[in-house]
Amino acid sequence: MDRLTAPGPEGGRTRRDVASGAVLLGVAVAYGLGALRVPGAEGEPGPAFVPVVLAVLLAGLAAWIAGSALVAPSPAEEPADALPFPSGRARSEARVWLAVAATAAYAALFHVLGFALGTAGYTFAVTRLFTRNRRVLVTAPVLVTLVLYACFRLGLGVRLPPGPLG
Amino acid sequence: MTDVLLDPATLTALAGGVLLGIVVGAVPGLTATLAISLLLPLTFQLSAVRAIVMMTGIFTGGIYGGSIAAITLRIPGAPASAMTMLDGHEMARQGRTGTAIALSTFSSVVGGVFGGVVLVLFAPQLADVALTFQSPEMFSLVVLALVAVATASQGSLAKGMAATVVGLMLSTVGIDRLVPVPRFTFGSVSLLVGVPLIPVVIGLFAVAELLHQVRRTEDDAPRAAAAAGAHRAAGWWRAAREAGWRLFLKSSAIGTLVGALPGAGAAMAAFLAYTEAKRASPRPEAFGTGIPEGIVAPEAANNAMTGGAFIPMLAFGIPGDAVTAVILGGLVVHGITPGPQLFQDEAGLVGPLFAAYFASYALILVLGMALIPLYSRITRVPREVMFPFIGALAIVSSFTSEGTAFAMYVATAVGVLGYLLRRYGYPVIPVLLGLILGPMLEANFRRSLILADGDASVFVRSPISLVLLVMAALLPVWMLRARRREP
Repeated sequence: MDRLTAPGPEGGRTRRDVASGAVLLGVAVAYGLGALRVPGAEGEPGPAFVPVVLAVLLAGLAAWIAGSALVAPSPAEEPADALPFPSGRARSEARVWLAVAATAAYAALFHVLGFALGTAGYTFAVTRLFTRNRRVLVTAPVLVTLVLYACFRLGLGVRLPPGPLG
Repeated sequence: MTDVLLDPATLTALAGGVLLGIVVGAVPGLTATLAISLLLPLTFQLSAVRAIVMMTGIFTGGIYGGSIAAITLRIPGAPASAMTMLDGHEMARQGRTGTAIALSTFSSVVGGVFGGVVLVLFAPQLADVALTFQSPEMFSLVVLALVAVATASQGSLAKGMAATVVGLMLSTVGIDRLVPVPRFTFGSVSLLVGVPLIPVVIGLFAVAELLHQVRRTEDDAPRAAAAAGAHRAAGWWRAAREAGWRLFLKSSAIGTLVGALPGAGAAMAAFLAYTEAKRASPRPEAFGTGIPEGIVAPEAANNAMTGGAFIPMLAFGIPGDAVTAVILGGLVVHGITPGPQLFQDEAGLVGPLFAAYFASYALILVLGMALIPLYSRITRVPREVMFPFIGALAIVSSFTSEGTAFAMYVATAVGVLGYLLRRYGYPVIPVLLGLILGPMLEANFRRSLILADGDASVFVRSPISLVLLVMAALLPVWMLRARRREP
């Protein structure tokens, strides 16, 4: 077994390595092209030098990761973090991206809705991804909002956006 | 020197500083640097002695406080606590939160006292050693630190290196430090100053952890098991003995030495100490599974760093890290000029500073142990409340750290990155270290070549630099051999 690409705790040499290697290779190429556009400087390596070196390094590592996975035999076991039921995986991934959307919306609307409304709404949305218990869905947003308000506004004096509540 | 601490007002300033430092250090998004910066105007009302004592308390408390969130929430309160999180949080998941915090507290105190003793006894000598580290040596030290973390991380070496390079790439965003041209800013004004560090820490750990937990809503059994004995600190002394006094000493020495190097910082101290502990351990495969050594090494090192960081600041007026830079500003405001003459001209201030330093660690020991039941309650909060709280805390903390909406977007985006890295088996800590050390790496590399007129042999002509580069080259070989010994 090649120890340089030996299995880690999450995945190992699977198609995921090919995919991640390919993505990293793409990142390296894009980054390298961007680095070439950085103006140079007289008499020293210049601001583009290190980025170009990093792009080459990442491209090499990405190619190694993807290439090693391509030539490796398919693993007999599922990755350590795989969920037990295949039909649940799609739902699990959907929950993740819903959480991402909720977090991005919270950040985007933090100043519009204000701290209280924004935090309560965000907490409700994310709590809903964990449970359907109505008591928790009602108390968690209130509790989280109050605790954070106490810590940041009252405890540390941080100015939090008031939003429409004023 | 100790008489000044018997003054109730001075003691109150110290205790207040330590407590504030612990709280600030424990809250992701807040740092000791921020706390001291915010309190600097307040210290104008205090005498020079009380101001120094308070700032020292915030500094030491802040470094220690970062481990609390790392252990209980799996969110490093400060970048330096990222390594403590690996074994600390795992120990908490096993129902030994109290033990983990007690061990972290004890290690912090041992490391802090060690750094303080070195500070008092050897400050001038260590300052001379620190002066021998010029640009080539600093570049080589950073290379060693980056290689060390990449090889010590879980997973394959190639993935660890790739994660490190990703972090280094992030560090190149913004205006170049030597030639004022923008790099990878995409026309964004917010990116001109680079990718903000604290939102990245919050994103990589807090937001990513939230996403990871959302994906797995079944199987609540691990948290229930953790709640049972979480508040007990039983066994922490046995765990400390299991780690061994040699590990305490070695990690503290690493932390003190790194702290004495200007700009190196607590994160590098913790990463190097953890890596060395893993390399030298007869059971390297156990790191990351909740073993005492994984807590002792980084905590002893990053707290020993606090003593080391004072050395260049007091001896030469060169701050050892961001916090000491702000403290230096505070000293100047109070009419104190650090430098070689400080120990003669301002002996009346140096003594209280040393006394406050040691007294702060005594307070950390007492407060840390006494508050274990309170910290342990955190692990008993149901996950359907805890993780939404973490998500909201992450976004609010990001906003607080920079005061901009941009910081919140960074935390969210980096959170997605951290989640994907973890899903595909890449370690995230090398990304963080690459972001932290990237500027130092590049600046010292280019400065070395400028001063040597482009002669690359400058990195091997210096014995110190050569040794560090050889160690960096050999470290992957040692680690791979250690992995081959794994069952």
